Amino acid sequence: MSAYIELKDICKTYRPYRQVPVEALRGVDLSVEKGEMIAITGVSGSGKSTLLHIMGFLDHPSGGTLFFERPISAKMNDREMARLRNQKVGFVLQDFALVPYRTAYENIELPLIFSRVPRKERKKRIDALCEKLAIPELKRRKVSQMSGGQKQRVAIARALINDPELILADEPTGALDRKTKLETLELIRQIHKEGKTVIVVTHDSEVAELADRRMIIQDGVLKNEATNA
Amino acid sequence: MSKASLFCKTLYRDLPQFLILSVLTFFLTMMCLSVLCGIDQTTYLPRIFRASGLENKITYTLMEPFLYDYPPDIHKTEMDTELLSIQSVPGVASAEPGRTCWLQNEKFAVQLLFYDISALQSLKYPLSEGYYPNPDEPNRMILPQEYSRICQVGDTINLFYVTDETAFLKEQPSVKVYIAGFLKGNVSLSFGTTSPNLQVANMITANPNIGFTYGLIDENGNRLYGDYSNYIFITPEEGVDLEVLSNKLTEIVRSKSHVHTGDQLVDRYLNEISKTVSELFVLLLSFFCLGFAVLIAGTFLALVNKRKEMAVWFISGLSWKDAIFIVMAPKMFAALIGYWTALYTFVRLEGIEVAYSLIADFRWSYLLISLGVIGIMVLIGVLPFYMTSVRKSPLDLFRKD
Repeated sequence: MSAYIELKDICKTYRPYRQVPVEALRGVDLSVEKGEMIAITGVSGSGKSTLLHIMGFLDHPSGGTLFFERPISAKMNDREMARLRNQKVGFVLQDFALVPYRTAYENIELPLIFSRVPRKERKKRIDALCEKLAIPELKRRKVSQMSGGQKQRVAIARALINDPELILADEPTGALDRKTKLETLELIRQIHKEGKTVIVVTHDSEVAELADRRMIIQDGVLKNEATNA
Repeated sequence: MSKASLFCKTLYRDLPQFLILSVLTFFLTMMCLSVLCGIDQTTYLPRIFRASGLENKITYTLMEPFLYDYPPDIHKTEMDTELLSIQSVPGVASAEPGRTCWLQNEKFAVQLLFYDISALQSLKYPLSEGYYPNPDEPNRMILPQEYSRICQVGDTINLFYVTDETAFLKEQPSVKVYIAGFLKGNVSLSFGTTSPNLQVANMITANPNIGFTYGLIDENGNRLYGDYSNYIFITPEEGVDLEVLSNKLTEIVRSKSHVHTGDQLVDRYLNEISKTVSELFVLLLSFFCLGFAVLIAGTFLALVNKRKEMAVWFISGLSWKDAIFIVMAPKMFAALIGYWTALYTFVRLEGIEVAYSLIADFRWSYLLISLGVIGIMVLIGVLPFYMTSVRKSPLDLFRKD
């Protein structure tokens, strides 16, 4: 395997208590090169988010093999997965995944706290990133007092603060108006331009158009759709 | 560092709840320690009584009308008559009177009980210092703890022997006595009270000026016997039923309602204290339930309210188990703080009355038992929530469809 990320025959079956098992992913094969941007589209319940969770070490696959810079053991423990999430992956989610009663600074600081970065260094890095994303005035504001666009910028800052190589975005513009959507898309485009690997799950064709490669997922099966690059 | 910093932030945000839980755990632990201490103290007397063998004997007290108006010589005659009558009853192995005397000089006075009779030779209380002399060693005395302020173990003191017979002599016999030890506290046997409802606590009670000896010999080598008290200890012959013998004795003695078997003395005492003990248990249970309710409610609320925040920690690089632990840890920390503060306070209160005339007296076994009670509370209050939360995936919070 030479790709940056490679999924082979990945399956995921949910077994709800006293209900029929649900096959969310069925034999997914995917190869991602470093610095590539991929858009995954599909209808609701097709398995997009499940695939993203597996690539982001939020969940274990039920079967198949995963390669992320190195082969990933299916029996990897929770702490090891957490460490990989912390070091290698940044998440940008539709509902922003921010703690509303904490300030932007406190939210952005979380990945640095978990990677044991000293307080002074944390401050330095947060200040620099907030400047770069043009949100220095938001640092001391509580998330609950921000607009959707501001929240998404803070979420992007939180995703980038540990300088991960992979950014996983799940409907990043789903909760935004047209203007802030365009601003967010511009940010994602810049992130990709800086060399980050970006995988976006979206319904939105405008977002998908940014990607080098577009894929579609149907009933848990992933297929190529079109190529921009 | 990372978890510690989050833990501190979580604790700071939940400070009121943390304080409430700490205070409740403090009171729960204090109650637990008091109940343990109470059980120990309330069963202390029967334990001493039983260990001495007095439970298998009969105690009789001569309580004739106008007893206190009797001239001493008549009281002695009456007691001798009673002793002879009792000894004549079939099934009685021995009948021994309790005897006392006073030893004093211009600076020192103590009432001594003679423990040289077979019924009392095994009666042993905990000592704060010193040792129990052999029953065949005369002129050794064990004194209440109060006396440790004015004398020491090993001191030898010359004292005058005062009884009804010698009280009015120009010169009382002189006795040289050696201090063998001090009681832990002032609790020992006394022959002061008698009643038809006599019980252990009336006999073995706090006596700050009563000690005991296994025999006295004056400076001229004469054996001293003391005055008769109105107590007679009756030892039955082997195989004789105590109840049957007690009924037989009741028929022939003068104070018919004053014949008590050892069992009766203990049972009356236990009946009297059972109300106090049950009240203590109810209080302990109330605090346990209250602490438990606050812990459960606090843990549940914290897990519900912080679920979103925990999910954010999760995607930011913390394992789900660690996230749950950080939310629950302040509850356990509060319980620990409350527990250790209570333990420290209780140890500091040693010797002071805490509740229901209970004197705080710490023992290491209390630490283990109270730790067990608090541990069970925390375990039942936290573990089920922890297990449930661990199984519930945080990913549901990020699902859109």
